[in-house]
Amino acid sequence: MTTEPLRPGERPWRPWQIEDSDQTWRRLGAIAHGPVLLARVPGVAIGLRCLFAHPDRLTAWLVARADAAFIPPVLPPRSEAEAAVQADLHEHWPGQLNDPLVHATVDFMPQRLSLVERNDSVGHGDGVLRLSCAARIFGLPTSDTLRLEVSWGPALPPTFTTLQLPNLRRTAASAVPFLHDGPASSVS
Amino acid sequence: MTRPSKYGSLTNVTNDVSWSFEEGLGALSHGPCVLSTGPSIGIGLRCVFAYLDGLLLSVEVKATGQAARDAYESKLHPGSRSGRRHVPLLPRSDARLSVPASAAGLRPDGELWLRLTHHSDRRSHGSRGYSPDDLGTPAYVRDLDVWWPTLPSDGRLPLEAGWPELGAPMTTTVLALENLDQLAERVVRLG
Repeated sequence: MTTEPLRPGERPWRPWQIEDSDQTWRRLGAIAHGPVLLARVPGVAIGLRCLFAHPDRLTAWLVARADAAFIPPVLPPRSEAEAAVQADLHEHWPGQLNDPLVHATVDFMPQRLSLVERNDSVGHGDGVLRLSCAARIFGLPTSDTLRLEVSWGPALPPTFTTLQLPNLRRTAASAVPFLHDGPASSVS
Repeated sequence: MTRPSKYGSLTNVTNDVSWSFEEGLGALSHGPCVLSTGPSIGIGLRCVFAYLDGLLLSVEVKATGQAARDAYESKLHPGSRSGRRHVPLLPRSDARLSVPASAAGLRPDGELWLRLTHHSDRRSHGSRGYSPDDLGTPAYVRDLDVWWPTLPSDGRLPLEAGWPELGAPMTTTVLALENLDQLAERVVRLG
């Protein structure tokens, strides 16, 4: 693991293992963008609750909803080669094989978002998958724009949304610190 | 540490509500603010979203060092599924979030507080700065999504938060909420 923030153009190989810098770790993200519906087709919808800005990265709070009939089925591998590919893929992108795909483009460099930090609820008897997750986006776009691409199986083809993030660096710098060093706490 | 007497009649807000926020994107009503801090522990509000029938509060808890160990181990107990036992065992405790019942119109005097239960709870416990030569510093992260099934008529919501056992005192913050009008047009449905 590394504690160094990524340089522009660097892409994390296993992004969920990237450790946040100390200044990001100790702060609440500042709100850089509010709710946006990213894509909606019959049976499937993906939205952004909000986008948080940290000193050196962003967090996208994503929510998705899909009727069971529209969730792509996970098929067993048809060959050893396909199984090996799936295993490699899972090593670097843990999660469900039939997850939605989300990419963010920071300064012309697309990065696939890891949806590992998530909370799923399936059903309540109505056969609906609801997904909520906080996805990290590494780096801050210098253009003050962020392009998001979402897709989900055959039901939802790739759909693009460009967010305008004016004064992003100023917003990111305003993130509120809420964790301070101190002596070890005692427990009575 | 014992809780003040006003919590003697504390009532949990039950989960028997429809989670309308799962079905839509609410209106952004409040941004980040610090709720309670102590040595190496912090509780912060990330944001509040307003829906037609309530509020979704997103809360983050972080701790490092001994506070992170205590936060993790305070949830363990004999016979837990992990089978781990810690001696001495810490008293079970958790981060607490409360809203005065008067905010829900249940009591006019505001003496009774309602403990909020979280709808979703994502937590991780590990270390920061780990390397083959250094185990790093214990780190604890918790994201809590809390549903408050009422919209305050005056746009103000007193929120009490803390984890006294770990050094974060119970602290009341009055949230001044925005964008509570025209919610029928602001809330975007997913389904």
